[in-house]
Amino acid sequence: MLFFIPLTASAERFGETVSISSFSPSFHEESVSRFTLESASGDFSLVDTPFQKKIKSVASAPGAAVTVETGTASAAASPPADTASMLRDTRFLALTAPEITAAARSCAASDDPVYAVEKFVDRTIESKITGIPLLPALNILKSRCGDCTEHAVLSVALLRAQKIPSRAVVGMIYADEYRGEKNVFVFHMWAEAWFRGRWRLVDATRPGARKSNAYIAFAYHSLETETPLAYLRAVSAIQNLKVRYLK
Amino acid sequence: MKAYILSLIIMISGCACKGAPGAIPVGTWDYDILINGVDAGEARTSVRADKNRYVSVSYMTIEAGEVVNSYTQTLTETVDFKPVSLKIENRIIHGSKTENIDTVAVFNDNTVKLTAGGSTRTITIDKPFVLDGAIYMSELVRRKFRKGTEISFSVYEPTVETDEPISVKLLVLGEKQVEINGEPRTLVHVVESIAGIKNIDIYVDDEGITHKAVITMLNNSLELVLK
Repeated sequence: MLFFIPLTASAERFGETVSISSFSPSFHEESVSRFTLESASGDFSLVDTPFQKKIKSVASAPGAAVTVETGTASAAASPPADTASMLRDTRFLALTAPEITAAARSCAASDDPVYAVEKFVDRTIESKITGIPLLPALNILKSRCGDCTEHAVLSVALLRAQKIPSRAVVGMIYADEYRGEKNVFVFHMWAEAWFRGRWRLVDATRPGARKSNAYIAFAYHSLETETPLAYLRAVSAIQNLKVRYLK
Repeated sequence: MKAYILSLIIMISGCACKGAPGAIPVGTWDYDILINGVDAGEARTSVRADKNRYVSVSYMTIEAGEVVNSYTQTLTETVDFKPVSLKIENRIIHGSKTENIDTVAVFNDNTVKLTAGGSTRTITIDKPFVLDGAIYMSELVRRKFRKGTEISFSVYEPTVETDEPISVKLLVLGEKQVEINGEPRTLVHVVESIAGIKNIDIYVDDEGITHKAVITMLNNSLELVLK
C-alpha cells in the first residue's frame, strides 16, 4: 500500500530546520549569496531557477555537494521555456471555479496584481496553522487556514487564473530565529511568476519580501498530484543535509 | 514562519501467509508510526478475500501539531491482480473543521475513470499495470525471499502520476539483524524503489509479515513498527 504522510512542524518530532555553518551577518547585506549544500545521498541535486544558479556539483561518496548562488543577480530575465505548463489547470487549482475567478479578478484590478495576490492570500489564510498536507485552492479559500503550502497553492491558482505564468517551488528559507534556533534554513514552499517581462518571487507568507537570496530551491512542484516525481526525487535525496555559508 | 509539509510515501508490504505459503495472504496488522524515534501516530493494514477479489485496506492517522491527518486507502483487485478500484480518503481535522480530499480510480482493462478534486476524467493507459496491492508480497513469498530477488511492476498510483503508471521495484538484500521495540531480530531486508528512487527499507519475516519499514528524506526518518 502507498501511504502519503504529512510531516509537519511538530518540533519535537519533525526536524524542519537545517543549521548553517560558517554563517556571517554579512549575509544580511547581500543581494546575492553563496551556499554549499551537502547531502548523504549521491542523488542529491538542486534546480536552477530565476533566483538560483548552480555553481558547482561535486560527488563526495556516498553523497554529493552542490554550491549555489541565490538572489536577484541570478535572475536572468529569460522568459519561461514552457509557459503552457505554468498556466495549466490542475485538480489542486480549479482555475475556472467561480470562487477562484472572483478572487483573481479582485487582484487583477491592482496596479501590481502579483503583490495583490500575496496580500490577498496572506489576508485570506487567517488561521496560520501547520500540519496540513497539500490542500486544493478551493478548500483553502473556504477553510481559510494553512501554512506555506496553502499560501503557495492559492497564490499559483490566483496568478494562473489571471493568465500570469506561475509555478510552485519547494525548498528552504533563511530565518534569523525559528523555534529557538538562530540562523537556520527552514523547509518552505513558495511560488514564482513571470510578469511584465521579469520573474517575481511570490511568497504570500511574507507579502512584499524581496530578499530572494534567502531562498534555496530544491524542486518545482507541478501541483498536479500530491507527490509528483520531480518533487519526490528531490526530497528523497535530502539526507543529513548540511549547509555552509560562503562569504 | 510556516512549516513546509512533506508528503512521504510508505509502502507497507504487510501480508501474512501462515499455513499457506505462496497463497494470497490475508490478515490485519497494526503499526506504530515514529518520526525521528518519537511516537507520531498509528497505522493498520489488512487484506481480505471477497468473492473473486482481494480487498486491501490501509489506514493511517498521524498527529501534526494542531492537525490530525487520517488516510484510508481501499484497493480492490481480482484474484489474478487485475485492478478493479482504488479509493483514497484523506481527512484533515483541525479544531472543529474537517477537510475531505478524496481520490477514486475505477479500472476497466486499460482505462481509468479518475475522480479527484471534484472532477472526473477517463484516462487510457497504453501499457500493462497493476495496483500496489498484494502482488508484490505474493511474488516475494513465491520466490521465498531469496537474496537478490527483484520484483518490478508498473503501478498505477494517482497520487504520484495520473496519466501513466510508475515503476515500483522491490529488491531482496538478504537477512539482517534489526532492533524492533528494543529486541534484536533477524529479518529479511527488502528495498523498495519508486521510479528508480530508493525510498524505503522494509524488514519482513520469513512468513511475509512486515515488522518495520523506514523511510528517510528531508533530513527526517519515519518508521512503521509492528505492534
